[in-house]
Amino acid sequence: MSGNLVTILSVKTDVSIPPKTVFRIGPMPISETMVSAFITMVVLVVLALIIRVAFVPRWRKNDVKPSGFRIFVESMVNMFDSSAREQSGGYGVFVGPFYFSLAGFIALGTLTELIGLRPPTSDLNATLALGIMSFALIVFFGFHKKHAKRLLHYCNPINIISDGVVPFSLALRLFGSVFSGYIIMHLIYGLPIFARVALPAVASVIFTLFHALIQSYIFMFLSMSFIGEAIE
Amino acid sequence: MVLSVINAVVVFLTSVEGLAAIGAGIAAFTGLGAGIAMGITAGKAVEGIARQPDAEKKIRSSMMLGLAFAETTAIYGVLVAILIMVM
Repeated sequence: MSGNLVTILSVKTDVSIPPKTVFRIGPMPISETMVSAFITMVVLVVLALIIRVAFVPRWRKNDVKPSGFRIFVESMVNMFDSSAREQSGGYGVFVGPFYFSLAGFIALGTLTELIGLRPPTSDLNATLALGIMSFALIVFFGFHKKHAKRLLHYCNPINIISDGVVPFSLALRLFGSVFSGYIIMHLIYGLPIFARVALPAVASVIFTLFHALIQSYIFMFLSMSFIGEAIE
Repeated sequence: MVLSVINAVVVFLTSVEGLAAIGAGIAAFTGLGAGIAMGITAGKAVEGIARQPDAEKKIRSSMMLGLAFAETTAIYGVLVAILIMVM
């Protein structure tokens, strides 16, 4: 009886924090999040190439009647560029495109959950890599702008702790929200058939679409404001 | 019947899984603080917009930043609960 109750009450999903290994290439294990990460990267690169090769020359020639797609692309680029220039001044030339690509990866990677894959951002390794990249940029720009004067900032040991925790806070925020949404969606897909038909249509908007857009925006915005703080 | 159900619940609660489930439930209490914080943030932002509708864009972007920080604690609580239950 008690054993039966344990199996009913405890959450028994096949989701675990380290992703499952799908296959191996030689000694290197390829996990399911790596597969979705590569799919995301291929989609992003192909999309960027198509826009650059097929659309941008045509847009340069005639700027009489901008289409909806052109307005969308230009407003996205403009949003990242203007907020990067606002936060990080002269470094905005690099910071804007860099965080545009990171935000694109996070948003599109989280959206791979909609086609049944495990999103790359629900893997702690991927989010930690993104967080460490942001941390390296923050430290590099801080020293590049202020040289040795930046060391004065680290004389206060509180600042060392609050700066050192930045990659973990960025990584765990992204990982926690995407992974919890992934587990909730997994539980919903495991429900009896009558709930599985209609419920995901409502739930995936909250737990997948909302997270994908909000978390990529927050990641970009927080990293940019940290860079702005470091170089001011 | 009732006694056996109570007995089973007690056995479950004092087992490792039961104590872990209680711990996960306690970890989810971080949502309390985060909920209060997010409510205060949104309320104050609406107040600010009502007082000065021109500054809506600036207020909204700083409100999003504040909401992100307030939400972080709730996400940490969820993370701890998931770590307890899944591991």
